[in-house]
Amino acid sequence: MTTEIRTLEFSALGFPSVTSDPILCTTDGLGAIRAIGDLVWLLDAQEGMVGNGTNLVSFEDVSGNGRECVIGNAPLMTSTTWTGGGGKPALKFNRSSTHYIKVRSPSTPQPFTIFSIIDQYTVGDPAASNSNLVNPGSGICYRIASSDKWSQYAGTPQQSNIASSTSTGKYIRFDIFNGAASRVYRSGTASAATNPGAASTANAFVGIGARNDGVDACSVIYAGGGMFAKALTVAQMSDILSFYTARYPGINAT
Amino acid sequence: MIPFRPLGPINSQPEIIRAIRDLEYMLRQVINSLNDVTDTIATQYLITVSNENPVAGDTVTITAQLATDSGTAVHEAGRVITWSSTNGGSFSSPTSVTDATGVATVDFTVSTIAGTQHVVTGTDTLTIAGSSDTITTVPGTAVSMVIVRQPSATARDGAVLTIQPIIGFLDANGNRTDDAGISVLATPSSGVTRGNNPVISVTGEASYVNLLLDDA
Repeated sequence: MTTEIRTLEFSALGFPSVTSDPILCTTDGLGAIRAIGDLVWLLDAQEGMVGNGTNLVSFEDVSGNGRECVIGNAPLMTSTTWTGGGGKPALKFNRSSTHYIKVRSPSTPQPFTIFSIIDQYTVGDPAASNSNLVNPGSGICYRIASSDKWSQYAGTPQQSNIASSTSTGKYIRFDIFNGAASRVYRSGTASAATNPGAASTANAFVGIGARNDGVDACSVIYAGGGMFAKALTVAQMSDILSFYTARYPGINAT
Repeated sequence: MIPFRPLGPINSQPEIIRAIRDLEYMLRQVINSLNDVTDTIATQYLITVSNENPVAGDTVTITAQLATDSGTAVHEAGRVITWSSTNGGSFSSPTSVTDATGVATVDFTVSTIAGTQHVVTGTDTLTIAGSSDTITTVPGTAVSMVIVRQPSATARDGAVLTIQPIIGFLDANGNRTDDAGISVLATPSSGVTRGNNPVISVTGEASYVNLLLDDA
């Protein structure tokens, strides 16, 4: 995160323009993503999240970009702070557990849906978020056009062969492994997946992924991270894939 | 002329009745004659304004007609009228003189503040006076924009601005106008905006509702 002072210039035909007072903006480098359709963004770990005391019930978009939601059964540590994360609220996923996040089915089926959990955490310094927009270890799962299957991108850039004919395309499954990169699966079994890559060399991951330092037996979505899921149009898919491809050569959505 | 018929001896009731009727007739004639004289006496000025809703800062023409109580014009030249007004404004001349038709005019520049109400009064040296109807100034044509409500001083990328900007329009004197249908576009100094942009003004305000700043 960085800050930048911006202004807004208001113009109208036939009038001299006027400029606003300075606006101190906190920038996060996510604009290109947010520009693509109505994505669900959780800008802070517990912001926009609804729990029922035990489970996370829903995520709500808090950015104003839309209200497509994802619903998962991951335990939500309401009113809990994770000391390792600098005392910030966190959404905690226990390690060695399997969690599912349900992507809301679009009323009109779209050819491509992408799911991503992003951000990266530096141990002991949560403010020093890694500049990587998408942490490879955190996993990206995207729905393959025309096949109604899920594929993934995680760890070393690659496309998994986890998509299967049995995929319903409605659930993204992810497993937490201590000391290893996360795995992101389509609906199905872990054994059907290909290991997405070698263990991460990063100190810790925030997002759906594993801390490989073994200190905290959990993974978290740390405040400042984000999550979105949305059925995208073909054009949106093209845009977002261009974005990902530029950042992570090797990703292939075909 | 008042007809006069000398009264002779009144010897009968019919003569008494006729005498009373004659007296009544004469009195009516006297009253009518007095009325005729009165209606030629100037008692007021009828003040009219060329435009009772001028644009703020504009000049209107004030006309004073010397008149009787009943409003009949009195044609009398040479009366000197001194002008005054409520709530400011200025006259092209502090006094005017009636012409042969009893009319005097003056230019009056109204306040530059829209919504100001003026009443112009003219009074001559004989303290005969008259006042105009209320003159209410209105905004002129919009020539510039103003930020009625500044956007939030702080913002987070991708998040809707907590305080949404409102843009208004001003005439040449800085009065807010009620222009509608003007498209106002917000352009950031860096990055991009999202949300409804441009927005169209309604009753003088272009109000953003979901504007946000983001990285390009």
